[in-house]
Amino acid sequence: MPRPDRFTGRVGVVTGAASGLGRATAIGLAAEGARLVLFDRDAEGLAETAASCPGSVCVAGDVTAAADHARVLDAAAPLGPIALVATAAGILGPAAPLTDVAEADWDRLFAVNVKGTWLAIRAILPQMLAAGRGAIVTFASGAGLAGNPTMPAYSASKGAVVLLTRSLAVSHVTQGIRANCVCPGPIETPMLRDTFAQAGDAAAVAAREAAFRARNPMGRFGTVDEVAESVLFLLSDAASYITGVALPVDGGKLA
Amino acid sequence: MPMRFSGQRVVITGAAGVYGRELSAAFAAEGARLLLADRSEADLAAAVPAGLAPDRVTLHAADLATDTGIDSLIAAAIAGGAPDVLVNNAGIYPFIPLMEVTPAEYDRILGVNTRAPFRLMQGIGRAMAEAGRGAIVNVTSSAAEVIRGNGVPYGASKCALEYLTRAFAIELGPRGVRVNSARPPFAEGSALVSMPPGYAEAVVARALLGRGRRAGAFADAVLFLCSDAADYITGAVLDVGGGGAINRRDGAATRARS
Repeated sequence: MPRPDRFTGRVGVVTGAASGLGRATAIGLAAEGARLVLFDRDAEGLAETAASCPGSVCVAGDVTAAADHARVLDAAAPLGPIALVATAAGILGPAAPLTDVAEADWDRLFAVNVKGTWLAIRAILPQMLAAGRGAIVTFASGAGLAGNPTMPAYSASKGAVVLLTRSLAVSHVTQGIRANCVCPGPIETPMLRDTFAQAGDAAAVAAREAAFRARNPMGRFGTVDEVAESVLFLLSDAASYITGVALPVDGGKLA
Repeated sequence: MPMRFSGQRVVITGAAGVYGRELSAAFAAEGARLLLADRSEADLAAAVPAGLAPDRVTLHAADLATDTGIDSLIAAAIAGGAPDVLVNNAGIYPFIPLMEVTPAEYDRILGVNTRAPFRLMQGIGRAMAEAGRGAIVNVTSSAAEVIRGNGVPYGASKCALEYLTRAFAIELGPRGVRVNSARPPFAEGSALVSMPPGYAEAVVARALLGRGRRAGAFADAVLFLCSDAADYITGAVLDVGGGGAINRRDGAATRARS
């Protein structure tokens, strides 16, 4: 249920905005009045998201490239100072035992999930510090809070995002910056389907999906909108005394 | 602003306390019907949100240190059907140096802070599960994570309550009932025993968001957890302590003494 009072007049940046959790977050923020810079490498997906985000602008680029984050700042300049950041860009990488992860895949995983998150924050934070105000939500994962045998490399990268976020929170808290992360569990997205698909043949895929479902106290997968609701809460003034938290949105899986 | 709790039945324990009043006012403002519990009828009457129609609030005086009190509250809460929301907010926080805690004090703190929520979650949670829906929030504390040498039984009780939160989340999740913990900011005035000068200030200073708590900040978080917006969140802890729980600046020795 949109609450138009929450983000009217604020400028935000959403990375990974072309699909999944990033798209749902962007649409939610725009519905409540935020004007957004939407960032993703997928220009077509971005355009589709933008069609549901009035007043938004798109930047097609690579989150691992500092120069592309500079283009985000340029795109935001006409809108005003950036007050909100949601870093949804992320990849799954190999859902495989650590011994089977190729070095190039490991590097790519950490480049997108960790360095990409850091680069976005490094680019935007000076504006927030100058304004004395800013709210940041990063996207970690339930797999960033507990060891995960299905996708250990992804788990390691998301664990890094959790502590990047907490360090950010303790570093700049007296300067008006709040930083929190959401830790989605199994959410119905292409990434979740990819997690299952990497199990192998059809029987193995079905078995992995059944195991994920069985491990979840709610017995179902979440929706992208359910994650976006938490991101919007953490970005909003209702969360003005909340910083440094990692909020699971996982149907109780981590409990 | 949309009314997220129109017509919902909300049970709040410790309703006459600092956060009990804040929670009651916030739920009332969004359309809820309240069952407010605390020890004293007079304190409860004084805690009813201003302007709330009498048919939207029921007061229930009960001592949650006793099984009689707990049983009476469960009966009142499930009379006429399962409530939609239970907030286990009642808690006691005596200031006692660790080595001076008596067995009776220990039992009293664990009784109100842990045993009562346990029994309320069994009794009211069972009715919620039969109805196939419900949201429970247990009010815990950053003391579950950060050692306070003069509040150890309290911290232990809140650790246990966060553990119970997870266990009930797993137990009741398949039946549509969500159970979460929320940690409020430190509020002076919520302790039964007066604290030495400077103690509250020292705890408040731990919070990293230094401007102090905003009235309503905790209720905003609890209402979020109880709302449909959080319908995939269960078994979680949401810390509303301004970052106090992740503050490691003052070192372990200071933390143990505070």
